[in-house]
Amino acid sequence: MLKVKELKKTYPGFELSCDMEVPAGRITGLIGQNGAGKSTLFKTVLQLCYPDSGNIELFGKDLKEITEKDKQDIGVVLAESQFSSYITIEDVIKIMKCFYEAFNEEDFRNKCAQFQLDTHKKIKELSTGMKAKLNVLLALSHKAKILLLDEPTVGLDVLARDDILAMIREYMVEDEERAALISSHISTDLETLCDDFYMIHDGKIILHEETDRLLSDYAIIKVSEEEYEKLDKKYLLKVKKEAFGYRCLSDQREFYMDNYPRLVIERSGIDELIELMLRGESI
Amino acid sequence: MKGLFMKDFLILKNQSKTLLMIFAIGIVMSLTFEPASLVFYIGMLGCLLALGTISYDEADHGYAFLFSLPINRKSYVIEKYLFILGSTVVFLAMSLVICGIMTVMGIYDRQNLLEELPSMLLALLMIIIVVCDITIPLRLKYGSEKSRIYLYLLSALCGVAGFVGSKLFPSMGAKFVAGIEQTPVILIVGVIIVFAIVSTFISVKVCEKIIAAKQF
Repeated sequence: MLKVKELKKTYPGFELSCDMEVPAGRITGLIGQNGAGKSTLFKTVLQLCYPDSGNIELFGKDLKEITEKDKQDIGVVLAESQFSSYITIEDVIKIMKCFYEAFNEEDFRNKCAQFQLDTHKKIKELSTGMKAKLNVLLALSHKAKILLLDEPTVGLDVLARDDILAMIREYMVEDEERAALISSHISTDLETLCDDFYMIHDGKIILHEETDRLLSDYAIIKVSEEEYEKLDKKYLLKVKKEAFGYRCLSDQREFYMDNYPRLVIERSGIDELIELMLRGESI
Repeated sequence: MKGLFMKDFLILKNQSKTLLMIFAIGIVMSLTFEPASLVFYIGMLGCLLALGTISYDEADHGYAFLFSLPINRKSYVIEKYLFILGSTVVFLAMSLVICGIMTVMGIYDRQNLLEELPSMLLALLMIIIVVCDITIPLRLKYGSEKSRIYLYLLSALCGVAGFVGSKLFPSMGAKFVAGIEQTPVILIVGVIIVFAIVSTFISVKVCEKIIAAKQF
């Protein structure tokens, strides 16, 4: 559905350089710190900024050949950007009806009622959480084939985040040909939602992994200095010095479980994975 | 493009208090001012209000979201010109309705109005087109705040040029007016229409380049 090949985009002091694929029927996550290049990647795919080199294909077409009609099949949430805050949700409904042939007004109104969004309120009168809900509802309102959601859960409390994630999951289940690229800095969002994820740091993709494999095969091994010396290091990805010795990241949990049954070996969550990928040292 | 028109229309509609105030002041003006002032006031305010929709698009990083919608950058520029000129024509039409009502009420002289109105409307449309053709590219290129400064500078420059010109060529103004009076009306109208079309065409092309080069 979306292919990014050898993309390069340079700003003073920053270079985005990445390859990525978002196939149909998958929810792909994009994680990284603030300023890692997540939003730049989204904006480049949406042609809001232009790449210096590389190639982006969307719906099997070069990005330059994407028409207004094709753009009807893209559902977008952008961090910090939305419809003018001086119009009401009722106005937004009228505008969406003009922009999107497949806009489902009845379903959108039902969802607004479900999320207690008063359609007569101006956008500027909505809380941060309400605005985030509105943005996601809009992206899901016109049967888009691909969702490009940049930080859709930012500013939301736990319950509201769960609601939004459930809504996205439900939307994806409705049609198995749909695809989604979602960025978030909240790792648990991605753990529960995404089929695979890319980790981006300083404009570069440093890891691409299936979520299932991450949760089953990746492990954090905590060892003393003595234990570390004896440890087979061929499956260690990163190592970080700690007060007690070393914390090691591996993608071969079974190997270490079988060969070092006395060691402390824990499953790795995304948060710890990010931390060790960014702060740990390569072997 | 329909969605863009709807968006701009709703932004204008949400300024209903401002619109009502403009017409209230217009009606009060019509009791004391000449029809020319009334038509100029309402037409110009209509133009400025419609120009203001660019600021709404720009606010809160709005362009990024706007251009992620199913539109392209060229159609945004064309819609903006059509919307601003269209709104101005609607406001002018409303001002004419007020003039008509005032004439029926005997406040304006019917004969004077019919004699003055065509040339006045033509001159006003000319001014509005020039204002739009300069202001829209500046707004798109520099944003609301900076473009305002450039407009002030441009106005000051025009004022200085006019002043210097009148000092260097004192009889030029009188000659120009005399020349216009001797020119057939149809020729003047033709020149104005051609000027408006050429000026707007150039302005639209400049805006298309500005918007195409922008990154959000």
